[in-house]
Amino acid sequence: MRKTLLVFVPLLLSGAAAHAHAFLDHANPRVGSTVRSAPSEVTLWFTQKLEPAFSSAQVRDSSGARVDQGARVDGMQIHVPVKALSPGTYRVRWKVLSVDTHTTEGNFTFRVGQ
Amino acid sequence: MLEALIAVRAIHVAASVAAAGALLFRLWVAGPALRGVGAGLPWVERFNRQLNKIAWSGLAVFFVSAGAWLLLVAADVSGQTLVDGLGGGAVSMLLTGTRFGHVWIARVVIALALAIYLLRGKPGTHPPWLRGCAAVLAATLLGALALAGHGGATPGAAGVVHLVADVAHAIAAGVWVGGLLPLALLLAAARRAGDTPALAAARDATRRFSTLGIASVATLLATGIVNTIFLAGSVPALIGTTYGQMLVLKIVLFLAMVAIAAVNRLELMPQLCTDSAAPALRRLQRNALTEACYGLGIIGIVGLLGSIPPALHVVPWWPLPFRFDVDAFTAPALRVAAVLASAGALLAATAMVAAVLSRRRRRAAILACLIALAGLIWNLQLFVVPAFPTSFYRSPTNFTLGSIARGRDLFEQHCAGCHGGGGRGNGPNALALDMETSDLTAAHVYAHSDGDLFWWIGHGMGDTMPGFGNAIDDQARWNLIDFIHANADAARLQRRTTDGPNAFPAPSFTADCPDGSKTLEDLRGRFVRLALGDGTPPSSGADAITIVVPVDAAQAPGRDVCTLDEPDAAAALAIYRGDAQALAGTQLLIDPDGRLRALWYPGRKPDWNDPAALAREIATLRATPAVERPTEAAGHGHMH
Repeated sequence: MRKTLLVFVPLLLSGAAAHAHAFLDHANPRVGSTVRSAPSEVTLWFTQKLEPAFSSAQVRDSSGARVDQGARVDGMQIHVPVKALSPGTYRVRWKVLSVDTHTTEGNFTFRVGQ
Repeated sequence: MLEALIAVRAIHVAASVAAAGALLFRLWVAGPALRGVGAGLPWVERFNRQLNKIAWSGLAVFFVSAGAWLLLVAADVSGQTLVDGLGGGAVSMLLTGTRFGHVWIARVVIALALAIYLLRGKPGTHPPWLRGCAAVLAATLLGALALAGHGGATPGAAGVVHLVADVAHAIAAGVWVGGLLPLALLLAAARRAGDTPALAAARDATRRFSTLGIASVATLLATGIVNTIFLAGSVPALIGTTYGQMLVLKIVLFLAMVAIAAVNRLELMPQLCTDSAAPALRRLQRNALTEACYGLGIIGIVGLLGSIPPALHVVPWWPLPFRFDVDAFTAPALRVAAVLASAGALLAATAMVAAVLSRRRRRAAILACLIALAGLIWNLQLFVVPAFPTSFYRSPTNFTLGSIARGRDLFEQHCAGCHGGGGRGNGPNALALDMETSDLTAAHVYAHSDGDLFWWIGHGMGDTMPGFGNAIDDQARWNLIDFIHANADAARLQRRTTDGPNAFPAPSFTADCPDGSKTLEDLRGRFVRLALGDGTPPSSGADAITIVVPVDAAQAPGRDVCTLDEPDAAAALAIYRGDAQALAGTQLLIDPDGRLRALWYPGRKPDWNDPAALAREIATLRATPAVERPTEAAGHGHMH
């Protein structure tokens, strides 16, 4: 059993279908978490190297307005700088192309404040 | 869309294999074998024309399928329909900006070079260096396929190993599968000619191809194992996912091909030197065609495998009601029985084989079979445990404080009635039931995988526990499982047990430190002390970094110390303390490997607020071997 090589693959919150393209490894702020202080940047880690030309991520607040300032793809990570976030729920949407030509997409939420 | 991608990928691989395989067959097998035969013979000319036709049609299909593949991938990655994809923006971005695009361009250029090579003159008129170049180009055409597949996507240093293995795999497969049809054609032509030089050429060609085949099979075996480890990695992944099941089918077809090749080599090839050469030749020809059909089946599966996520990234759905588990060897109470059972089974198997081989002593053979059967049943009890479709599901929660806290709330709401507030099986409803409700802090809980617990929470167990799959969602079930584990760990930390597990996974968190935010992973390599409470934090010794966890949110600790700011932190860590009222002053020690090792609260001796006592505690922990609790599926057969 290849225990050491198994990477944690968080299933999308929408459900655990056997065909889930679950490539998001982890994020900061953590998926579904609440943070007291607003982060200056949302970072997403993926399980494979990404193609920058076709990978992106956006952060929107609860009214749907974008609060990110572009996204930077760096190897297996995406860095999304965000404006000063007020308390509330934010949704991160990502769509990436791995180097083996598979697109995967997903979204998750995190909360700022209580 | 997916079906189109799979079909185009399979066709493209088949075309590459046909073209490159025919070319390499001509360079390495047909060329040398036919050199001895007189030039200009009609059957040789006819065979060469057939070989050329294969190479040309292969290249033609290659170019068409390459174009289709490019368009389909462009449409797929840009999210547009095929018609929009033709609009060009996505295609040019794909070609110039992605690795897939670069490899595509390179392979098309190589195919064009090979087409020019084919155009220029008959085989045998090219100088050796040009023939060598053509061979390298053909091999590259095959090997570069790996860069467009999963083989090229594994990250890190391991990724290099994977890629090299995949490239070798593609080349070996192309050489072998691609040479089967040309071989059949050569044998057919030689058979029809029927004279001695033709038969000698057929013998020579068969011998050369056989050597090529052996090298190819050895490479495919070795690289196939490497690839399987990288892309599947476990038995549940092989059995419980579509990818894994298709991979198993591919391996079965491969073994069938090897079996036929073995017959060719060991039985038929020697016959070519005897009088029965002609019928042997016919059988060889037919076998080669059969192998080619299996090879085509394999290529079809390869098209599918390259288009779906590898089994490693997919959660397996276990299809059998049981699974094998060798944990009986590690459980002390069962170890003796396990060794005896295995020895008994081995003995019985040997006796059975011997009885069958001796062809006499029918009664002894029957007795041996009965012993073997008994041994097998005895073994089954110890090594086969019940399993469920979700037994190999992996928790998506990362064991965060938030997940544990939510699990605690859910437990109070849904489970405490029977299992009790502390999960010890002493809830008010438990008294009304005539079956013991599980003590969820017993060692027994560690013996089941997260997936097993996921199943039972969702579907219930037996007649007494109802299923909660309709009352709560999947995420809630994983939160509950995190709470159950944390609760069971807490019981052991509170008791300071000396036998059994003493090192438990620490919940993952993110702390704010003066030099930036630190996760549990960032803090590996040193002892970490979590100190709950408000007011002055205890002094941090050099041995451990102290992280303050505020209990009362209104008080924010000073800025020169690490704080764990998450709102659920205190609620989750209260589980380890076991008493939410007396939370302030509680401390937890995490070792350099990220495991919870010890718990302290005011009143316990020695006093951790004394730096010297804390240093001694840390030294003791360093010296004590850490016994982890099982974190994966483990357990021997037992009844619920």
